Amino acid sequence: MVCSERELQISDDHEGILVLPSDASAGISMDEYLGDTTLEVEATPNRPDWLSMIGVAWEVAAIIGKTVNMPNTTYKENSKLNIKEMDVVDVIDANLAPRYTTSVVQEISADSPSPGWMQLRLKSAGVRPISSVVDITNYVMLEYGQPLHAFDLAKLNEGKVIVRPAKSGEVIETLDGKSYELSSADLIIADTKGPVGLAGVMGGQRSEVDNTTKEILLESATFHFASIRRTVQRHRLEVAGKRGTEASLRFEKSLPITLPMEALKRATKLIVDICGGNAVLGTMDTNPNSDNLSSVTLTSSKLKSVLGLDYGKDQVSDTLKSLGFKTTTSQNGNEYSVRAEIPFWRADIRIPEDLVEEVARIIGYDSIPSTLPSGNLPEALDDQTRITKDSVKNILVSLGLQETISYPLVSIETIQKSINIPTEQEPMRVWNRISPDQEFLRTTLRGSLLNIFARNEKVGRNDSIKIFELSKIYIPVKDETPKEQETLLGLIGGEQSDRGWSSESREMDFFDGKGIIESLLDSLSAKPSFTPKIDRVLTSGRTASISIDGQEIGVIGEVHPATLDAFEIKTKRVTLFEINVESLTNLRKSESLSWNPISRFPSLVRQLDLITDISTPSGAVNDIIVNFPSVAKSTLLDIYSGSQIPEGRKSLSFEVVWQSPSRTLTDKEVEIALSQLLNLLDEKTGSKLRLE
Amino acid sequence: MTSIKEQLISLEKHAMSDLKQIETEQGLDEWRINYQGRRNGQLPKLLEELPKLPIEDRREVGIAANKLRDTLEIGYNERLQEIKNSELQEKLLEETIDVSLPGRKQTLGKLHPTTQTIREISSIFVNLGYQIVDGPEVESDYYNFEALNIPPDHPARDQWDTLWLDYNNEEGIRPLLLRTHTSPMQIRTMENQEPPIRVIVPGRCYRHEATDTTHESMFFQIEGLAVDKGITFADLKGTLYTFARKLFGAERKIRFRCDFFPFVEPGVDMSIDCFSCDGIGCRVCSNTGWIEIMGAGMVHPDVLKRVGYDPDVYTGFAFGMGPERISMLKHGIDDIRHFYTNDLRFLEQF
Repeated sequence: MVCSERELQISDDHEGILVLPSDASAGISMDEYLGDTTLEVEATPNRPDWLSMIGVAWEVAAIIGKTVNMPNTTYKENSKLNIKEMDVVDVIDANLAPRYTTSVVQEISADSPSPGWMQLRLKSAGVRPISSVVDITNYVMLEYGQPLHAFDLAKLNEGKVIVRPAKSGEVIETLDGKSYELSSADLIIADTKGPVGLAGVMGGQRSEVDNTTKEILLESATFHFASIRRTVQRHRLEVAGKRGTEASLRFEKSLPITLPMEALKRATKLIVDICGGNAVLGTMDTNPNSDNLSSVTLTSSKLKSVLGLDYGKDQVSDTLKSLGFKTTTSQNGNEYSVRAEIPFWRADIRIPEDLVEEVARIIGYDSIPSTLPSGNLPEALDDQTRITKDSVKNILVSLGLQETISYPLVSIETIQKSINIPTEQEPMRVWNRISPDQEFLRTTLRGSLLNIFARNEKVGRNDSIKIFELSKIYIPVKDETPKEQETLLGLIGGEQSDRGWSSESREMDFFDGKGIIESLLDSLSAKPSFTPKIDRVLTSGRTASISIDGQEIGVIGEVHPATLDAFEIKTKRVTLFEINVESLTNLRKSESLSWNPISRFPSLVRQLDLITDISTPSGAVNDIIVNFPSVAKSTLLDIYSGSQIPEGRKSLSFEVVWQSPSRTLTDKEVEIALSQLLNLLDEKTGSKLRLE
Repeated sequence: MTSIKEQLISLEKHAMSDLKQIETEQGLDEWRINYQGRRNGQLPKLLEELPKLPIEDRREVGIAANKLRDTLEIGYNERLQEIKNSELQEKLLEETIDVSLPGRKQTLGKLHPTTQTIREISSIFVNLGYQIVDGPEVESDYYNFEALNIPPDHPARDQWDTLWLDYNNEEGIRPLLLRTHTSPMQIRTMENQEPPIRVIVPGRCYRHEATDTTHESMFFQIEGLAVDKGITFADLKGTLYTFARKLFGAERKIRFRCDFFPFVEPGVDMSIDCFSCDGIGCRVCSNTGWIEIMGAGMVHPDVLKRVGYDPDVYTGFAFGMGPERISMLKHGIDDIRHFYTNDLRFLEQF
């Protein structure tokens, strides 16, 4: 059976069958010939060395207790020419290119492919072999994590590279055939004619190495991570759908400045070994001092204060050594310290805590005991908002409403279709929205819940829907962050109870919603009053503002048919309530803990049938009755208008319970009180006793 | 004389045997009249003979007669009770219902599963002495990134695809964003409070992310932070171990592995052994035996310095987890997008 590389899951190559190089002898197993186990490594952003064989090798070695054989970097410099005499590099921006090293190899033969072992290894790492010189630079990048670039020296005008910011409007044609118009924020490699490479990202076509190349300039440099990152972002550079290039991906993670020379020597050696040719004497290095390795010192007290455990000097030192650190230890009384020289491939070690992590993760976090913090606890918070929110949710759930949580980002239409009065400023907009449905920070919860109502109707929920959400709305404030305001919104519609064998069903309306609000506020010991209100999206005549002690805290009303249409809701009557949760929190704070003693004295019950103007709010009448002295309770039993009642009038029947906390009321006393109450009702509301 | 005594015995025998046959209250009354009726009752009639007896026998017969009177009375009352009971029994039998009919339900709403999970997790930490705090969702670049060791152009920013608000300040910089994690509250809490600090922060977060079965553009996080003198990684381990056992069961094992978050050092992720297969390997744990639960670590010294804490005096740990993920694990939910679609058929199940 002959297969392509993709069929064998070696690479994505599907252009033809896999032809093995001539050094593969027939009869041996494929695994044995390839000789490798593939390790998949998740490289965190702080560990660009895990994007290299050396980095992973040291990690594996430390875990399994082996040592790493570092690649050979020695080569013969056959040429009599010294690179210092060649004037091949001019770095103009040392900030963006803090280190730039180069070597030159002459008389190479670049017309044969790289050796089979190298091609196989490249493929296992997901890199497509191209030509010997390019393969070598890629191979060394995979070994060291240091991207390199090879220029055809003969194609460079005046045989020289210049590292400088691009001039605005300069254009580079990159190796992948695309061209980019550059700005002064892009760092480029140029010759005296113009750009030949986008520094740290991709080479240019003009200086590309090909089969006829005889003389190459190898570049191994450190570029500023932010500059590379911005260039990739600015030009939306991508290869095969992935952001950036293998090179930029590494540079963006901030490569160690100690890395370029090691990689340069390794690549030069491989060029000489594989492509032949003569290496020019020496290398160029714009920042040779950076090869001095820095060190960090870890003390036993630091180790103990971070981990709560001390492994001892030897284990700390040995563990660091196993990762490639060079250590020197010293003892000072009970304290010891370990000075660790940071290996050239590591860029993430800066402070003693970094060494603590190295030691702990290699020895294993299992070695650390489990304890609980032993210090004092902070004082408990006076967290009224949260307590209020929790209790509001609990009560609504116990009243049969389902809690929803929806996206705070909504479309502008969702806000506009449902808000009563638009806020003075436009809702806050997301600059890089995911979709138009999630573009604005909502200034109302109404639209969100109306959408939920509609969606549930659409999926076949047609008996009843009772939902609420307690979430933030975001009120824009000029030149500041928006005010995030906790708001309660409820929607109920459909049948009052489940249809079934024992119950008669009826349509829920305003009063079902009002009952919910009354129960909710009763639990907070608040007495709300409801007065007619106009709201753009609610039905006028069936809408009320909710206030407590004269302060408006919300609104309740039946959603206007036009609004229901706008949200494609089919239920005819949907009641909405909206309450500012902050005002509830304040209510909780002021809630007094007083109680009324239970009266030991008997009560008298009298029916009070009144006749009043049809427009008189029954709530106003009831308020007068309940607040009258010695009235313990008043219940509105019946409202009637029609025959026997004059036009424009209605009758209200109350059951009034009279009771005194301090003595037994006599019939006579109640009669007197009743007539006083009737005078008051007449005076305030024009209500009179209904005479049969 | 003997005959009266014998007659009393025979009367008792007949009366008690009659009594057993009676099934109604009316019959019972008739029985009483028959034996005890003042006029024609059998017992009074018999006792009419009493004065005729010799004086010495009267006493003895009188006692026997009184005893019989009591026996008949007790018998009457007992039988009456039996008859009443059986009548009630009959009446109740007629009221037999089909108990399998559905009850008249008082509908109970449900809290959103995310709310439930947040409450469950929060209460564990409250019991460990933590305060629950809340913070703004519209954050500045400083709190969301820079103060947490993620300066502009830091490669770690790629871990958090950010939704930026369309607002430019005077310098032409777009400084406002929707927080990508609850970690900014680490900074705000340390700025506003003095150690000892123990807080957890449940809250909404946002990412510029294409949604799929495990990713949402809006989700919740629960952040935790403890800062004090002498807090160590061992305390972090112990705290999260306690948490994991409370939430997932006392038999759970936990595992820490190295991970990277710029604002902690060392940084770890915490896993529990799979509660579905006890670590053998199954679909829930993707055959690894372990389930990742959260990220954690020791607060980075640079972060402490930035809020004015001396890292040589104070240490701390921080952790963060996703309540949706935990809810999904606990209930076996396969798609995070169920949570905020608000389909009642989903929400009402929890």
